[in-house]
Amino acid sequence: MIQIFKKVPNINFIGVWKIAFSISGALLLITVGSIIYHKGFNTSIEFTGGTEVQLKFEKPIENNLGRIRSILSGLGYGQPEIKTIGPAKNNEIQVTVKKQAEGTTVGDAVKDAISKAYADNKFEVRREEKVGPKIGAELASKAFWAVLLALIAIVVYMGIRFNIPYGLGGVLSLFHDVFITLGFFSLTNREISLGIVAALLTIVGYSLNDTIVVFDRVRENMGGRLLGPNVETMINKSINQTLSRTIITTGTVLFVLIAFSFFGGQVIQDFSLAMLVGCSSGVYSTVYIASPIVLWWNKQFPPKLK
Amino acid sequence: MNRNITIGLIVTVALIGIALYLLKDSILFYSKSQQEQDLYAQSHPTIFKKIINLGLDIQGGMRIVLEIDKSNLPKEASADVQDRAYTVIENRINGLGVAEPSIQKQGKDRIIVELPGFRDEGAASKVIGSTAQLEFNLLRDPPELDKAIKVVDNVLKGQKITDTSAGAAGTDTNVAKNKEAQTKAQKLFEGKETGRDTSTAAAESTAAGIEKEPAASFSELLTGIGEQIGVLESNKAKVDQILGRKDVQEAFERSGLGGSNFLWGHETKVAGGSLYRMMYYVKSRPEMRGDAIKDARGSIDRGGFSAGAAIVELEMNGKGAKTFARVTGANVNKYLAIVLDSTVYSAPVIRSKIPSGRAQIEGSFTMDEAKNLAIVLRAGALPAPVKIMEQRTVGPSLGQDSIHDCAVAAVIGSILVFLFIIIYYKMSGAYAVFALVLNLLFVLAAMASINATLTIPGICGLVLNIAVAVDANVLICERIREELHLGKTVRSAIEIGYKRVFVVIMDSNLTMLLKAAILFWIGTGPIKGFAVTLMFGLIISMFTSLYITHVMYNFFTPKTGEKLSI
Repeated sequence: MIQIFKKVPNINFIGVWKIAFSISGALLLITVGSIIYHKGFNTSIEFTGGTEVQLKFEKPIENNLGRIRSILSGLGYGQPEIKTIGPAKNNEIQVTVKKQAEGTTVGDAVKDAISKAYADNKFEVRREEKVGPKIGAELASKAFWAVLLALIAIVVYMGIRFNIPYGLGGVLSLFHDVFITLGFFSLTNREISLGIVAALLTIVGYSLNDTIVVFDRVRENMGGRLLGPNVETMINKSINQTLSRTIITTGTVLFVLIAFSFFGGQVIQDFSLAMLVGCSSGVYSTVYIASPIVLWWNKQFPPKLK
Repeated sequence: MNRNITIGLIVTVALIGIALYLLKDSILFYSKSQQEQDLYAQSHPTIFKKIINLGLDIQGGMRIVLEIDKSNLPKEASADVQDRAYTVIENRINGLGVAEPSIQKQGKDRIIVELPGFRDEGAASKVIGSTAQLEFNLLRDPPELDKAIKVVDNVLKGQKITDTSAGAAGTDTNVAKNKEAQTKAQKLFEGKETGRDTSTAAAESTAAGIEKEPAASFSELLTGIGEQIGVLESNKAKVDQILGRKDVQEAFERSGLGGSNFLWGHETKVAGGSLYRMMYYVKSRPEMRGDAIKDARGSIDRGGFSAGAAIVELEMNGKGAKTFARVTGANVNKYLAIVLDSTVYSAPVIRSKIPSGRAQIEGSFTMDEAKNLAIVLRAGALPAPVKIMEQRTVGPSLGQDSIHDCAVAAVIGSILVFLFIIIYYKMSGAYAVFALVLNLLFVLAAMASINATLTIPGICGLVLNIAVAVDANVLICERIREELHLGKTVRSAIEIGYKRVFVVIMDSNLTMLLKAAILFWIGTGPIKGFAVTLMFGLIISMFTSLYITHVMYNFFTPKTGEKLSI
């Protein structure tokens, strides 16, 4: 049989938790710093409201972005954001205008102005979106509450199936993964769209699964108990016992995500990147966020021996 | 063979059969090319109710969220403003000819319109731009209808009109029926279905001599239904095209039929097993407009011969009542069509002059139909202003690109993972891959059975589902290996492996199921789509990972004796 480890490894993962904790702390600080520096996230018009038009031209357009920008600035809808989509040979651009106007006025004005200025270079409208500010705000608040309630439900469920510290550890590690992923998007100034929210939900699910696998093994190793003087050894043992499973599962998932980032189109690429960051963080956080929290609780509130 | 294994195999095979049955329409439909799909959808209008539909983000199309502006409406008008706006929008959307439009009410003041495959950017303004036009037009008498039909036939044949008296026989039957109806009850109005006696015989009855005419291409397209004419739903476009022709229009002018129009009915009727769309021939100039109406409501008839039947009560305002008295007085026994945005909703017959401004429309309505007609009447009287809150158009080419990208990435990803699992775990890996394939098949079948729509977030849900299912299978294999290392026999290693892993998988999947349920409950559109596929996936993957692979192990291990290929 092909094996990663000939026998169960005995690596002292938990021993270095202080170092890992400081690394996580530093990453979270960088995330906060980046969010402050960028004045919040670069959210898509799905959340902020606005108009977005994606146009595919017949002839090359990439050298004309400046000209298009100045044409569109003259429309009186503020400074539009213009960028190319995909490789340059696609001749595809995206125009984002966050200023609001009645109905589809903005989109119509943008298309009209560009088609007049480029009469000899026709375009096809690949996508056009208009989101009113009210819809955007509602969407953002609904997404927020959905995620928050889901996390609370997870604490409660894990609190019942395991106990409070395990539930707390599990959920804080989920927060960690979400923050790290958001930090990555903030640092690289990538746009947070609804697709990314779906990715965050996927990350939460994946990371949770990873944590439960390890915690379940701890419970089994401790004969059904969850806390006690030997819990540190037991967590370490459980992580080692499930290590080959973790490597294989995570390996395949990351592998697929890398395939997605290469072969998938624009829509999938950002999603896959978010998943790559989040899922790696999810595996890490089981060991270095969820477990230390259980250990800390165990030390602060040692269970009374029966 | 052990009885449990036999049952397990039967269950597995039966489920595969059911899944394939549920997916048969989807497989059939999506294996066709784009043009073939369009053709197929035209001849099978119910196909979209039987298959997994692709979301607008994948196949392209348009989504519009409208909000009703209640700020300028009087309080009593805002109660059913959403219903009125809905009726108007539905009517207009149906006129756009989109294959599978979806129009939904959301909350108290929103309407969501989804038009798959549609991308006319001006459509949004067409849909909501103007306020609803409600008009009352007189139906032309049967001889004029016959003449018009002959005119068209002659144009198509390239001939001039020679004789216009051919419809006389038909006219007689019509008048006779009208008289009969008139004596039947003392009611003022009667619905276009003129009682149940005629509608049951509708399939066979021929009116106005249309079918007696030699088969010329236009009249051939028309069928007498009750006292009106119907057109096979699949021939609607053809009729539109013929009537829209310039030479046909000119021929109408020359024959003195310039002031009349063919209008489609809102309703369809089934006759002789086929779906017909009603068509009406009306005077172009309306007798009255929606502003004549004060109120309309669906109600139950309290007196007379049809007591207890659903009716529509109509009340005119002062000026409207005067016009109505004049129109009804001058046109007794004629039909008055209720036309909203050029679609005829009903064409009751005028029984007598109505001076009071209070009228009553009856027919073989159900209460819902009566209520809907009342909404149509109020929609004209009290237009509902709507604003575009959100509009998304995804061009079909972008949609196709993303389908292609998704498919390539998914296929490459899956093949690599499956290969890896089989190489790493050998036969046990093959069981796992079998379970994963079934997992995907069952999730898709479940989605087809509820006629779900697959969106990009939905695909994310599927990806998570597969990732978790891979993990479940890896957990099982690793655990069995561990138990084998501890010196257990193959049989007991498998049993202990499944027993131990059962707890983990339950814990993990149930928490995620809880999470997915909350997302489904609170989330909107895309998040809901994610939650739906995830919920199906989690339930199904518990079954495929824990049960089906177990059956496979049990079925194959006795033969390999004490060695397990893992």
